[in-house]
Amino acid sequence: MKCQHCGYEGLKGTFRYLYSTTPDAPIAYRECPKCFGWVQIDELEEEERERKKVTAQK
Amino acid sequence: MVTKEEEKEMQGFLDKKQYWWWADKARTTRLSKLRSAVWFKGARGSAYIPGVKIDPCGCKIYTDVFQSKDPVEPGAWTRAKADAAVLDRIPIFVIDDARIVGYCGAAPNVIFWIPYFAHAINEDLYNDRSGLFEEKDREWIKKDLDWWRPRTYQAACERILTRKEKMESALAIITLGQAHLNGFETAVFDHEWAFKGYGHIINAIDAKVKEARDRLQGIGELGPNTFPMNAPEDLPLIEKLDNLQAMKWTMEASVRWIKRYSRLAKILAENFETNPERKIELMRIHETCAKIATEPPEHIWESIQHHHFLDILKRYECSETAWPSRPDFYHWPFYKKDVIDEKNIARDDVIDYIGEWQLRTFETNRPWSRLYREIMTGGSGPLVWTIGGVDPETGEDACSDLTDDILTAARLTRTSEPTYGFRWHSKARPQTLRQVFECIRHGLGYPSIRHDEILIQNMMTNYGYSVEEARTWVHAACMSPACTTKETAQPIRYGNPTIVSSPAMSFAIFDGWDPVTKMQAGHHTGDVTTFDTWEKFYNAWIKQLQYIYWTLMRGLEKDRWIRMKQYPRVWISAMYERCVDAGLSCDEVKEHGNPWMTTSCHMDQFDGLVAVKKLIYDEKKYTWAQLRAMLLANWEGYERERMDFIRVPKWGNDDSYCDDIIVKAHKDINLQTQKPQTEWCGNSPLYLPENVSVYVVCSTKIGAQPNGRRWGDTLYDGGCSPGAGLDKKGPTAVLRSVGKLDHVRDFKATLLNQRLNPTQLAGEKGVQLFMGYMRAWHDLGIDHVQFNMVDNETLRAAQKEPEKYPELMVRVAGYSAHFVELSRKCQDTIMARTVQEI
Ligand SMILES: [Zn+2]
Repeated sequence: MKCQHCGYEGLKGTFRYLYSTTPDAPIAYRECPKCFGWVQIDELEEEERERKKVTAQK
Repeated sequence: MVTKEEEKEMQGFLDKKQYWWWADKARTTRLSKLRSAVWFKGARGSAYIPGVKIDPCGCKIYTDVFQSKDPVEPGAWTRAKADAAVLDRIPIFVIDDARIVGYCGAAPNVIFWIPYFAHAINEDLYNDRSGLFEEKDREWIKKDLDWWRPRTYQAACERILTRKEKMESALAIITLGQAHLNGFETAVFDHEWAFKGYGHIINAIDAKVKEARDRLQGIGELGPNTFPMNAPEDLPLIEKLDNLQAMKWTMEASVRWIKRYSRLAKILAENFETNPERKIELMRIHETCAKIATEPPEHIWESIQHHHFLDILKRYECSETAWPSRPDFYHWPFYKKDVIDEKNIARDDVIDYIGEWQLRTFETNRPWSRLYREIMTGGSGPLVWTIGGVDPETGEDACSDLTDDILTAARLTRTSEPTYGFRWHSKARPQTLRQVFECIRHGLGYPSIRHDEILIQNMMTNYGYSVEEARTWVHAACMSPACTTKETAQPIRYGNPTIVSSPAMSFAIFDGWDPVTKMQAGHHTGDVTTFDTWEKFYNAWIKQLQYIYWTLMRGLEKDRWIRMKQYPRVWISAMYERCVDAGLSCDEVKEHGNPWMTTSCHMDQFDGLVAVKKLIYDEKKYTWAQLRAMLLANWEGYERERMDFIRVPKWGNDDSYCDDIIVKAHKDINLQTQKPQTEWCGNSPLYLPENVSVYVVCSTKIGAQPNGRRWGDTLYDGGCSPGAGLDKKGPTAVLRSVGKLDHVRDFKATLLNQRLNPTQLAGEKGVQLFMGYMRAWHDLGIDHVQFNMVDNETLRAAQKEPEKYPELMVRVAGYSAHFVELSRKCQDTIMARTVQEI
């Protein structure tokens, strides 16, 4: 995933989990490891994307 | 006089729902001036706001007295002498335009503090980076604190606590400290006694002293030794005489302190004030204080001043965290005489007095640890004033014009404290219910609404109170009802430890191991992967809850013992007739008890319980090994699976599968964790789920949960509220679910947060809709509900431009706060709550 503040790119797990704003949906805030900005993401979408990427690489 | 133009402008503000601008126009110039001169002492995030300081006077005076104490004098004497010295030496002041005087502290911007309770708090304050002490004082304060460290109440308690108990208190995983770490109490006044006045109490003490002294010396018609000694009965009189002497000193010091205000007002009037109208007001303050220093109040302005002094004096002795009282009931006889019968004061002027009293209350706070500042972020209480309800003798409606005036004053001052709890009952007069609704519609977040009939039954059923006793109830702190009679008024906050209960779920899953601290924290209840039946898991979970509750009750009662034997509260003891009768401290005399255990972060684990039953035992979709792995990973990489756990039926949707499990679990908790315990007064406690901001603070203290919550996410905000946004079936379904719980037998009380749509509830139609909703709530026998009525559009705008919304208030959970003073996370969770269309 990509930080919208500084452009840093990395796996979702490298962004520290902060908290979810919508408990019934996979939307959450994470913190960019580079600029410490807050990034809102769809956890499910991001996870599926990363999973596909890993499968493709194999 | 309000002109037509002004009236139009004010109506415009109401139409646009800009209630703060309305209040700005509607309140008197005096109230506006007083309001702008107030220093708010609550925390923003976890820090006091800039300019607020800790008052070092108490430290200086206490250290002087304790360092020079007579080596043979009893502890109660030293404590009483220290309190008396504070009242004699602390600077006092009268604020311009004020008609109610009395503050706990030497200046309007300071928080009074004595180093007597917890060295943890002493050092927390001393080391605060924001500089809570003036640089010039730091050196001597440091010396004093070093002297106090081994002599505090905390040090004495820690002598008898086990290493694990001390660690559990300090770590704040299953509790938020204990009395010895928090140093605060919540004393409920013996109302009739306290309103008899200090002179009466001093005379009563004198009579008891004479009685005890005569008996100890065997005095009769022949002088001393007319009677032989009966040592087992007579020797305890020595301790009683010591206690009574100490009580008398604190009462005499109170009289002197009040007389200082009387003198100061006169000096100001005669020497400094040039405005003739203000001179008259100052002379009125002078006369009022001179009189109520010893005599009981006779007029409404005297009764309010007396009541205010009581609560300020209470705070000089101990940092009180609440303001248990029932102002509309206590002051009604005075109001009736002065406003209705004799017309000594105009009704509008009483509203002004009440508004001022609200401001004098709002400005108080106590020296809190950083943890507690964060738990009460944006608030300085909760100072819940109880209104409404019924007359204790007749059972008839106790709502009056005074109740209405209090609610009117609340809309005018718009302070987050005091906050109100309204005792809603079937006989309550409609015009007062309308006032209640208007406060909620104005976005104050209060009054919270309590089911009077249910709570009276609850107290009678669980503690054996008579109906007349139960009907006197007031909020002891945020939620817990407490009686105010001679035998029942309680001096200590039982819920002091504040249990955090959802860790029980983690403990049950990890055999007592806590994934956050990575320590063995609970009981060893077995390897969950070997639990082949649902019952095995359920029983392990109950055992973990027993561990949590029993650990904390043990600590609480040990703390009580130390207070009773070594660290007495003398002033407040004199405020209980039964203590004066017995000559014993309030911690020792057993009130007809009313214990409870405040329980935070309570509901999450129940939705987790349902998810475990459904997905592991009923459908066998997941194994324990899988769930444990997902929880340990904080669901990272398992988002699809997490959504499975989220989609399991949740509390608050009137779903019988889910609700049946949760209702049974509530009963079991009461029977298996509460009923087996007996506290000092001989009663079993009841648990009381509610949250203040603990649900935010604990978001990083409690690991991932099977309800789909991740570590970091806030917990459920209420005591029986559904998770924010998880109630999908509308307001009636929420009430139906919550109504399935037994609000009379299973717990002390519980907190239901709801959000209503301000647009839907506009105008007269809105009033009718609200009353209809409240009828459904009342019929279902639910003990509590409180509302937010601010839309997300406004809240979002306030997040973006906080400087434009300094007056916007919201209900957090158990207290109200200014929205912009809350942390971003707390703001977000309030916005995530479902807005119900009723
Ligand atoms: Zn970044």
